[in-house]
Amino acid sequence: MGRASIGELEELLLLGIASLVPEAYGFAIKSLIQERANRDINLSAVHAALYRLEKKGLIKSQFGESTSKRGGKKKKYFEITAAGVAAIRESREIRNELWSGIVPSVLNYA
Amino acid sequence: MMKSLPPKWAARFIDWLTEDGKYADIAGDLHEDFIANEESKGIGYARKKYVWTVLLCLRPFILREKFHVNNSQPLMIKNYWLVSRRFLVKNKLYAGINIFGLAIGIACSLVLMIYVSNELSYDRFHQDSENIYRILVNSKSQEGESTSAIITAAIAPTLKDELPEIVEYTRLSAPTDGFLSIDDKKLNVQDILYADSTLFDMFSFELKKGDESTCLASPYSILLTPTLAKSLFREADPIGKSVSLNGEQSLIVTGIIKEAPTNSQIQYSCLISFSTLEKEKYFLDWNGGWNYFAYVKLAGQTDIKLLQSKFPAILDIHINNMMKQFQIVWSLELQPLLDVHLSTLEGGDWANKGSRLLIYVFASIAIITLLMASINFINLTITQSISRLKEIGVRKAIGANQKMLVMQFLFESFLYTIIAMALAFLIIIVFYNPINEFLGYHLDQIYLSNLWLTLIIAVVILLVSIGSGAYPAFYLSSMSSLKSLKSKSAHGPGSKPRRIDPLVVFQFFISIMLIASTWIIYNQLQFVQSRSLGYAKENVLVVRLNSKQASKNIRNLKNEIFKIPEVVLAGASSDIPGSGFTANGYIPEGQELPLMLHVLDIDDSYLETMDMDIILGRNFAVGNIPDKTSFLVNESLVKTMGWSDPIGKMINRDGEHAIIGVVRDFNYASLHEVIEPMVFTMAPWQDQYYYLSVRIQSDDLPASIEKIESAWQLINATEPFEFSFLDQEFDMLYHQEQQQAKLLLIFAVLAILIGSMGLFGIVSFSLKQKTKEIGIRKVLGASALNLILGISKVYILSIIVASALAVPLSSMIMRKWLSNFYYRIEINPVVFIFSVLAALVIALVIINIHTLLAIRKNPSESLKYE
Repeated sequence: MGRASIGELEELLLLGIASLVPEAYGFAIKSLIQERANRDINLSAVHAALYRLEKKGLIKSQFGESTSKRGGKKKKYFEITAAGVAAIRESREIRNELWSGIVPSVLNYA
Repeated sequence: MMKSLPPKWAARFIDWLTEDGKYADIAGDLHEDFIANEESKGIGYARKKYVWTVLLCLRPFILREKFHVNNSQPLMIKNYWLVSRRFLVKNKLYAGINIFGLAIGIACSLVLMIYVSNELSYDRFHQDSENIYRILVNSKSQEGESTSAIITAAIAPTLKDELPEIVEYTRLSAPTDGFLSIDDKKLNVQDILYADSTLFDMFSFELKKGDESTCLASPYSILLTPTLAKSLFREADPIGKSVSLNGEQSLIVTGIIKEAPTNSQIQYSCLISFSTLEKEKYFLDWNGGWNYFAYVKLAGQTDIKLLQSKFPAILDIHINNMMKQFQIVWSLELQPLLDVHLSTLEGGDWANKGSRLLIYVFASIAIITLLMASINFINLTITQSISRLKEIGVRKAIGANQKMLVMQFLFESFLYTIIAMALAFLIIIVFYNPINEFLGYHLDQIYLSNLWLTLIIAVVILLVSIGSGAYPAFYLSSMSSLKSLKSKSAHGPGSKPRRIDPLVVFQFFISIMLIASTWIIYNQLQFVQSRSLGYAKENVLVVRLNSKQASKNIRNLKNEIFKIPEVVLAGASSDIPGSGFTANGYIPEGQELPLMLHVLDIDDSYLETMDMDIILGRNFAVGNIPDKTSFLVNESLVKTMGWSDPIGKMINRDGEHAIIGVVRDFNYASLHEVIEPMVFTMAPWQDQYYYLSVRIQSDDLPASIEKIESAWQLINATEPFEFSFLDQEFDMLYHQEQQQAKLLLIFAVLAILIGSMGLFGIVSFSLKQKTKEIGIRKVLGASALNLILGISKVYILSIIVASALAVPLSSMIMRKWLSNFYYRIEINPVVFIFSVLAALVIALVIINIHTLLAIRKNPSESLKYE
């Protein structure tokens, strides 16, 4: 089996984790993406995608401290693995290649 | 800022779901999300979002973690599926009966639950419906008291003026019939209502065109429903056009109002502004014109008791001080809008009423049917599972643990229940139209998606599948594999068919009760329809006279109609027998205080037309001027007054009236009510007769009606011809009872069907267990009769026990039901004997079909069994 393919949300999550490390936990990641992508994402969808990524081995996690802001519940910090880095790198390369193939005049349409 | 928390139950649920596991961070993230949402979008949004997200967390990966489901599970489920399917196919008959019986039970109770939930939903669509009340007037006099919802017009405005708690009031007139016309187009219309301009502040009826605040403000405004507008104006825009009511009032269309939902107590086809009544000089004061419903809206958190305690003072000023001389006292009551539909009032009320009793009856029928079907299902499943002891033994021997066996049996019963549920929905959908027709009611398909129903269904599925799966799942699977492998299914635990089965008793009990009750109700209805009423209701065509003009033309109309050979006679009256007559206070000779007497205004030929007999004195005569102020009375009045010579006695009401004749008592209302004293006059109120009754003798009814219609057109060209048959109107009086009878009949058939299926299953199973026994008995010389008796003995005993319970109970209930009728049948004991016999015959037929098949088998075959 080749490298695990990733979806758009998964890609965003990986990027989000990478930019938040070492403070990347569920709610923080969701907030960041919601803000940057300017769209409403349900937290539950984020969790589902995170654990899917973990199962694919693209991220890893460990439990952290609990705060009162969280109703006394533990945080779980996510980190991107080498495979994860490879995955976002690859998707970036694909995009770059595709971008560079575009005739500049096409981009003048707005 | 105060720290708010997410909804407790949801928080607890997500904790439970994710606690201590791999996903323990989810709850905390949700909490943070909640706080962030609260800050940015408010607490309401945050809570909603939290609950929604929690529900979204019910994902397979989380559930799998929670319930430690490992990956071998799907394989096992595949195996369960296979085994369940094999078992189903192998035991087609039992499984079929079992599932079908449950499906019928579920379908029947679902239909009834939809009916009940629709009845309970009445008027809830109005905004603030719990703050809306209807005013009732209770008037107490020496003769007793009565409470009425149809009241006088001045009460509501006065209350609003004097009590700040009352925010708004709306009055509606009692619905009337009439006809609308534009140019030469005429249309008969029912449910014409006059309504105050505040209608839309009070009720959430939908105005499709026009302005809510002004459309009912000015006099002579009318709102039409879309259907009515279409039939009057076709595609043209009706706003601003004028229509005429009963050829008398000219009204301007100011809006189009959507029809009221079916679950609304108020039903209309058009609404006319209340101020029109003022212009037309109707009685709109405190004590005159009892023709209006009045609704008030109270300010939130009003103390009803406190508010009602302020009424007496207001009433004293406006009415009671005046009524003292008649020894009549009024009091007011506020009836919650939501209670109206299911309440019963002696006085007049909206026609579209439900009955609380019927709701209880339906709800209990729904529960009993469901219970019967479920118990049946559980019983049959358990009986069948005993034959699977060996399978359990083998499974255990090759390494299944108890948990897996429990899973297997629960899975199976769950599967069957789901199939039954799907079948039930199929039954409802297929029979949707016949069901509606039969109930005489429109079940809204929407209610199938009602949240409560979904919940009930889910609970039923769960309970039934656990109930039927629990015995094999927990008891049988706990037996040691050695024991279960060794045990012959025939001697397995629980297979002792010789005892009296409480389930069988229960089902016969219900069946016998239903057969007997349905029978008695049908008898009473037959009695009601065949009883001599004191007049002849057959072959009487009733023509409605809507306008004053039509009433004035009556002599001409009669002359014209008499030219038709099929017409025997015709007479006019203010009311027709059936629905009851109005009552007024009269003071008969020798009496101090007024007596409430029913009154009917008739013309000279009415009594003869209706075959009502004059037993003393004479009838009214045309052209005899004194007769205009004379009275006829009925026998009941003479009896009440104790007069030996009633002719010439005087009755006072706005002057003295001499009695010139006595009419034989006849039932002017339904047989629910006793015949009360009444008077007949030849001077109708406002000079208007409302009905012309025509007795016809015809072999070709449609042709005769056509002739009468052309006679009508000749005299009353501007008014549409509107007629009905007296006996049909009469049947409508017992509509509710007929509906009850129909329903009981259906339910009786269903109960017998479900019961029979259950019995069939149990008998056939116990016979299968006894295959060997029967073989041996046969070899030893038992006759067929011997065998049948031996097997059916226990069921006959069950029926005897069931009858002992059912007969007294149903006779008690039916006596109560019959007490609604003043004129009623005595309960004939034969009914009970036959009901028990019917149950017995059905049971014996079912038992013997099977037994005969079983005992005709060659013993050599049956002995080889197993």
